[in-house]
Amino acid sequence: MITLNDIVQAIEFLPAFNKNAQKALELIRSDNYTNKKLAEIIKLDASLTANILKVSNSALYAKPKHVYDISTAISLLGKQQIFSILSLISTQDYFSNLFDGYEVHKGELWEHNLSVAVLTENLAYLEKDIDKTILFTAGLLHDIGKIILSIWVKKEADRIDYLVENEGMDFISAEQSVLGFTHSDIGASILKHWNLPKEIISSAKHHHDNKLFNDPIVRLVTLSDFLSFTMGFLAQKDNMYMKSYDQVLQYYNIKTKDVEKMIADNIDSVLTTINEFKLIDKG
Amino acid sequence: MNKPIVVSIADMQISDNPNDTLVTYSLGSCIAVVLYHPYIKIGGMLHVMLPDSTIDRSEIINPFKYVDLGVPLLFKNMFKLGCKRGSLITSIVGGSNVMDNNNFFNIGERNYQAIRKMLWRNNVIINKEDVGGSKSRTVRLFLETGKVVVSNAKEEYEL
Repeated sequence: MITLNDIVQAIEFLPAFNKNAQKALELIRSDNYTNKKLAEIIKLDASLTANILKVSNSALYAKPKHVYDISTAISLLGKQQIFSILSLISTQDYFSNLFDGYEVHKGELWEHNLSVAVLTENLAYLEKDIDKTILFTAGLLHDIGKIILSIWVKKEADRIDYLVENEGMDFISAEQSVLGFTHSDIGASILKHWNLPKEIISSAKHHHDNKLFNDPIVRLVTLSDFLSFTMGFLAQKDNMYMKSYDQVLQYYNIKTKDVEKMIADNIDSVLTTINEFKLIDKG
Repeated sequence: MNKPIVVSIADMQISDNPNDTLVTYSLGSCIAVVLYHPYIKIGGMLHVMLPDSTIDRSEIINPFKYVDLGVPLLFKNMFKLGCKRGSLITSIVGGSNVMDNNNFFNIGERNYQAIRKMLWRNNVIINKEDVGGSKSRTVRLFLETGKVVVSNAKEEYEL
């Protein structure tokens, strides 16, 4: 078993979340938001500025003209896109190791997270009255707990696999049973530590347990998680043994044909995003 | 040995260099169709996601997403390089299903059935296959030997 103290230490040991990015994310969701204020925060941070401009000029947001300054980028892309881009560039580095408790090849966890981010945003049409600004980020960070839990999952892989294969337990229950914590719990703690919005924390905490099922963002992230696995992202290890998706699939009344349609409709944007934010080449 | 040629999701790769290896990672419900000509050592691999392209509403369709468009293209391209239908060794890998309680989402099975039907109609025999279940698969084709090797986090075996 891991102690709570182990987890707290591991979280504190993570490199700090970019302060300027954090401020910018807060501003975007606050009532006194203006494009000008956002530009002022971002301009203070040279690497943030450079990265946003790089993404703004990438294939993802094909623009007629090259964007050279942050104010133009903000007014062209809008605050929702900037929120997603800020989350992407300030979290990508956390995923740059091999997390072999969950993945076989480096980058698989990151690709899974990117695909859930794109899907969560794309599937917004399934819900009414939803804050679209944070959908991409909620998807992107739903599995952040795995970056910490990975070493323990790897260490206890035999016991976890035994429960999954011989006791019919799904992977998340096996995590709980062997380690005393799940990647969902730990993900929520990390995001809290980073002061991210509570809806994003909820999606990390509840995407397997159906406890916050009345939250539309949690529902969308859960559905996107299922779709990503079905597409084959992070299919190497845990996910084929997850039983927690039934409720969300019933809620949206989704049948095999609908799953196929959703895959067909979304795979292009998923692959474009993955290509744009590749960590490494798998070899 | 050359760096492996990666077949991405919804992608096809063909090589006639015996030093090459074709590889596709993490097939969930997707299926890899692997063709190999043992004498001239030409190999092709296709990674399809879905059985039927009629659900696609986009203007430009990537044919390698779908069994009905991708499989014929793989064969056509192998024929172009001089392969004859009867001399190709055909392997089918993947098509698993995310385990849910009522076993309702059988895209993997539907992919497999679509491929079987198409090959049967065209008198192509499936020589090797490893499909179904709830596991993920990575598949490699070694062009020098024609070996098809399937692996995942736990095991590795030759078909």
